[in-house]
Amino acid sequence: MTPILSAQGISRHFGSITALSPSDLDVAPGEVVVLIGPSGSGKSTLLRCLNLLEPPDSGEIRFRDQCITEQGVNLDQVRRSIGMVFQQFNLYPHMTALGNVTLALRRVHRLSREDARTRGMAALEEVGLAKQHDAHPGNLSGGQQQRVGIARALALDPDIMLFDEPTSALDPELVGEVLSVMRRLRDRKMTMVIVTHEMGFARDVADRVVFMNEGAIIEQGPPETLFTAPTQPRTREFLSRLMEHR
Amino acid sequence: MDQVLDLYFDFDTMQRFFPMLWEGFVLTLQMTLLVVSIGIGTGLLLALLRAFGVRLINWPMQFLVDFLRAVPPLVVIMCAYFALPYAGLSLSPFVATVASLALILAAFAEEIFWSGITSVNRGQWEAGRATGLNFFQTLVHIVLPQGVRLAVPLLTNRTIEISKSTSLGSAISVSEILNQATNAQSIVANPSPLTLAALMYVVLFVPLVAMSRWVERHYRWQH
Repeated sequence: MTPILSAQGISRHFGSITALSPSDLDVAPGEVVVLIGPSGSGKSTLLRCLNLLEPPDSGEIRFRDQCITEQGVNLDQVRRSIGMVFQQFNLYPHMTALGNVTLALRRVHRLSREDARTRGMAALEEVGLAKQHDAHPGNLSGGQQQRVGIARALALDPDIMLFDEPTSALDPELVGEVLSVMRRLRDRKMTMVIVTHEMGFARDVADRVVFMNEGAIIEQGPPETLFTAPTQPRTREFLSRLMEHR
Repeated sequence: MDQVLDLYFDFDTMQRFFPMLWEGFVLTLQMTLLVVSIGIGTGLLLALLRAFGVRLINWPMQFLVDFLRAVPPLVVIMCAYFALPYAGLSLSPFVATVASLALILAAFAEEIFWSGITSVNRGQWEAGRATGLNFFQTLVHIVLPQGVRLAVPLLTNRTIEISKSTSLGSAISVSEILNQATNAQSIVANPSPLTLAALMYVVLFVPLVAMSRWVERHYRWQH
């Protein structure tokens, strides 16, 4: 199948530090790709390069039939179709939950107030927060905030969703509600690229797991293979260290 | 004690000069409203302009802003009134005072708005841009409202301070409250008109202070 998103040889440096060595990543429509690896391994950088929040220093990224790393591409246009969910939620504190979800619908999609509201409420419904539509982020729990973050991305009806450690900032007891929303998205065949440290979840939902270390993709494959029979010593080392902490 | 009452609370004198001071009151009110609206409006526009990061614009702006913040308001007013005519620009005392103070307030407001804008978390920018909002939309709908909220307490203090500097207009014969009061005082050799002037400042600025408190509360949302 032709990939919906394809990154070829993308790299990213911060000063003299190489956050991401030239890497390739293809994502097929409906596929769930999970990026795992120790912190500082370049997972988030790779993810953030995909919607050019971090513009890669080299390489090219194709989204649908368009090369989006070329000069003169309208990135605002591209980003409408790529949803992003952040580790720190990044909700707008001065707006209600519904306001957070409808801002881009109003300003980017130019929907009328009523249409934006209808779509916004549907997105909040989907993450189980329709009742809290009038609450400000400060009055929501972390798990609820992140679900609003998901609804905000979902409302724009994206072709693909990027999740940057969506549960890392949450109290352990709140992780489940966010993961179950993401499971539902997978059941709906949403294309997703997920950076996470939740290995159980990765095993459950991933079509493909990508292990990264020191800014490079070390190995990738279906979860059953990668988690049980990794071929690379560094993958084995990472996984066994995780098991020790269990 | 009687002497104090005679000198500062001579109600006959106050009554006699009330119409004269009232004129000054109206003038001060006009100046204040103009300085506040022009100063804050210009300051906000400058801060927005600065956000675009065009060096050719930002460097001269920075220089002017620093200059206006460094120089005492009275000096700016004097220059505007006495020096500008040599450059072919003659301003009335009223215009010279209002323009000077509005510029000074604009300089401070620009810095205050800017510090508000820059203290908004980078994640807010990213969230906006990631949903397809462009730079300006993200600035206006997401970053600015939060930056303004942070700026409000600083801004209201500075606004009140600079608005009170309208009294400096008396130095170039603007007939605002203080000027009218000192004139009245010299006519009767009794400072009671100054007491009346003080009362008028209270009447004028207490609502402004109260309003600023309301604005500060209004811009505070639950976190």
